[in-house]
Amino acid sequence: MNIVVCVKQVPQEIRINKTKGTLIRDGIKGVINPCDKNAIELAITLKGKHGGKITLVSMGPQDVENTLTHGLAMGADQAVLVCDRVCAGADTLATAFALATVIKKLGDVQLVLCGKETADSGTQHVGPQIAHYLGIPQITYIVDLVIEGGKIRAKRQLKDEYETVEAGLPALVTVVKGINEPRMPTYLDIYGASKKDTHKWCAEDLGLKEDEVGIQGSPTRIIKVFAPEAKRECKMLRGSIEEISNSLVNDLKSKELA
Amino acid sequence: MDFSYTKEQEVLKNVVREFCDKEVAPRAAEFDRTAEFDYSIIEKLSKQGLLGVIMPKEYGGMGGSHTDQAIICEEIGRDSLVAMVATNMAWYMAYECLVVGTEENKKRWIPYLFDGKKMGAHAGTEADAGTDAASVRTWAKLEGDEWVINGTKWFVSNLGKADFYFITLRTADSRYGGISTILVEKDTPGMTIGRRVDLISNRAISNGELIFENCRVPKENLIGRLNKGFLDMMILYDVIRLYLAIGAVGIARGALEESMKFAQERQQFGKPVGDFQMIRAMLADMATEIDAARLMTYRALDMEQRGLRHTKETSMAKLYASEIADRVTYKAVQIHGGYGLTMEFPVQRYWRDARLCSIGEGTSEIQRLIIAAELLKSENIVLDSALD
Ligand SMILES: Cc1cc2nc3c(=O)[nH]c(=O)nc-3n(C[C@H](O)[C@H](O)[C@H](O)COP(=O)(O)OP(=O)(O)OC[C@H]3O[C@@H](n4cnc5c(N)ncnc54)[C@H](O)[C@@H]3O)c2cc1C
Ligand SMILES: Cc1cc2nc3c(=O)[nH]c(=O)nc-3n(C[C@H](O)[C@H](O)[C@H](O)COP(=O)(O)OP(=O)(O)OC[C@H]3O[C@@H](n4cnc5c(N)ncnc54)[C@H](O)[C@@H]3O)c2cc1C
Repeated sequence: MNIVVCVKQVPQEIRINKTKGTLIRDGIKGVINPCDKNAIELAITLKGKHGGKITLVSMGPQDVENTLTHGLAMGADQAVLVCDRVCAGADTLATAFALATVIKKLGDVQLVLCGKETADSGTQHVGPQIAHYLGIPQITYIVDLVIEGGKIRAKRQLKDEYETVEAGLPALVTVVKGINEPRMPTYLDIYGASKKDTHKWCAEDLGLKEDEVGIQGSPTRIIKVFAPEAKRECKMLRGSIEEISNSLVNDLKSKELA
Repeated sequence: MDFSYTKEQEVLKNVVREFCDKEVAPRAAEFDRTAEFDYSIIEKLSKQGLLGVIMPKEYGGMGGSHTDQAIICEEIGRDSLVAMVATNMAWYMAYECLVVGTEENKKRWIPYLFDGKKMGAHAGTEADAGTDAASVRTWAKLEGDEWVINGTKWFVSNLGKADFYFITLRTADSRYGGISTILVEKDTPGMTIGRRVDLISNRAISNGELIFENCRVPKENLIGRLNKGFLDMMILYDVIRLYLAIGAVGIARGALEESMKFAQERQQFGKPVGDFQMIRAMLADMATEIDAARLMTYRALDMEQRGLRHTKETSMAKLYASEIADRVTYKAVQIHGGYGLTMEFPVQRYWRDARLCSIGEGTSEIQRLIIAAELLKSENIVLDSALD
């Protein structure tokens, strides 16, 4: 059971440059995207049951190596970092294409795990797009996963219900944060991680052409980034307790909140 | 000279942060309010392999570097100096035994002292022997195979919580040449817990009086060399003081981070107070001083790692880090305005807790005396007299 976990490094803190309308990345420490930690934890549990090898795959700048070391310390076996200037400025499509190419090159992969979404952009596009490029089934938003007889059965968390879906292998799933409690590596795990391999591949190693990756391979254009303004309103309710509670209930009902 | 973190250290820092976000930060105010620390945090830290990482592997440690240990201490200190002091006291005495203990001491005691659960305490100070540590009057006399201890210690951190106490006391009449350290386990007959003092700083570390009345302990409880205890203490201080310095850096960083957050959120005159130049100047000075203090501490730790003498560098780091922690936390309260004086924001606690740093483990005045003596190569009232 060889598993690939796609891991993105995100800034520890989300700050927006209001004048330029871009995400501030300079000077803010990069950490593993929260749900990707859950994906790694799931991979470790599955490896415990079914054996195999866990490979972390990421695309990003040089310093993503630290993030990958964290994932290796948690228990992954090796990591691949796609790191190339020509990959910069990729949108979700170009990101997914590059990641899918890595997974193809690795070969013999039965399961691809992604986070549901990232803390910085959070489009939820990348997982499904990788599945598309690999031509394999996908199950999104999973909170539980079992592997039986060459198939996976996953429980999906939807808005008001759960849905259980089966798919053949190989397959891709995206996991939600509540699926498990990611482990914290110990001191020895951290130092053990540096003995594991992190391969750095550039676009050429993957046979990627310049117009397939980075800004050139990205059809999306971002017009503007802004933080939504949360407007608060305060309304004083007066009268007896009954009057207050009645008017509160009516208010909530009229706003479809109750 | 390279003071950048390795990739393992970057991960270590993130992992300790994750630990603190979960275990320390949410409870720091409660520890202060109730004046009780939750010692179960130490066991959790130990399970992560993060307790006393500088201890060698053969003694149950990780054989880690001083930089690794400092990263852990700074991160914990950032949320709670109390938590840092408490966790350090679960490995300090084992480290002391390692540095100044005889071979027999190490074999007999380190596995007992350093098991990830036990808490230690070090009782040197007495009511009339503070800075003048060599004037202690608690005595230990050898009777047959036992030490018999009499006297009263004061300002003992971890009072009543520790599983064992290292007592710095007099074993001969010579002022500097008659001091030794003896280990006393809790519940030893003749040792009683006296008055607990109410503190404004590091409130959750219990502190007070420890009384000895014909307290008998085996001869093998002598730690280090007989009558060389004062010198041993000075050797140890060269390292231990650096961990208080890094704690001061941590708490100052906490104060800065809280101030940055507040300054960007709090609006006056229609804009965040962080837009005003006077507030920005305070933030800039705070950040600069914290950086300088951290680098000074790392420099001295690096010298220790490389086996160089660093008495002056340690005292400089301890002096500077504790004094900037005081200034930085003061400014943090200033930036918070009235909110800084409420118990609802942590900066008042940082301000109170930081105050210990320039008093404990040798006051700022003593650090200045040591630095000047090293500079002028004149008589060092502390060290030279220990060599008599
Ligand atoms: C509003 C907005 C602003 C943007 N601003 C910038 C910008 O300033 N600079 C810039 O370079 N890009 C920018 N992008 C591009 C965006 O960061 C990339 O497309 C990103 O790599 C993937 O999109 P996502 O973060 O939404 O991932 P999602 O689709 O939400 O991620 C789901 C999962 O896919 C996997 N995954 C996603 N990205 C990677 C990766 N790189 N490596 C490995 N696994 C991954 C992870 O498992 C993740 O949990 C922006 C995108 C948006 C929507
Ligand atoms: C919270 C807390 C925890 C503590 N924990 C411990 C502990 O666990 N174990 C322990 O043994 N002790 C502990 N102490 C004691 C601490 O080490 C002493 O308080 C400290 O060494 C100063 O001694 P003192 O309080 O007697 O002050 P004093 O020595 O009386 O000093 C008073 C003032 O005189 C100055 N001074 C003294 N001598 C000189 C000189 N030669 N030149 C110039 N100035 C001088 C001092 O710097 C100070 O400003 C703790 C104290 C506190 C407050």
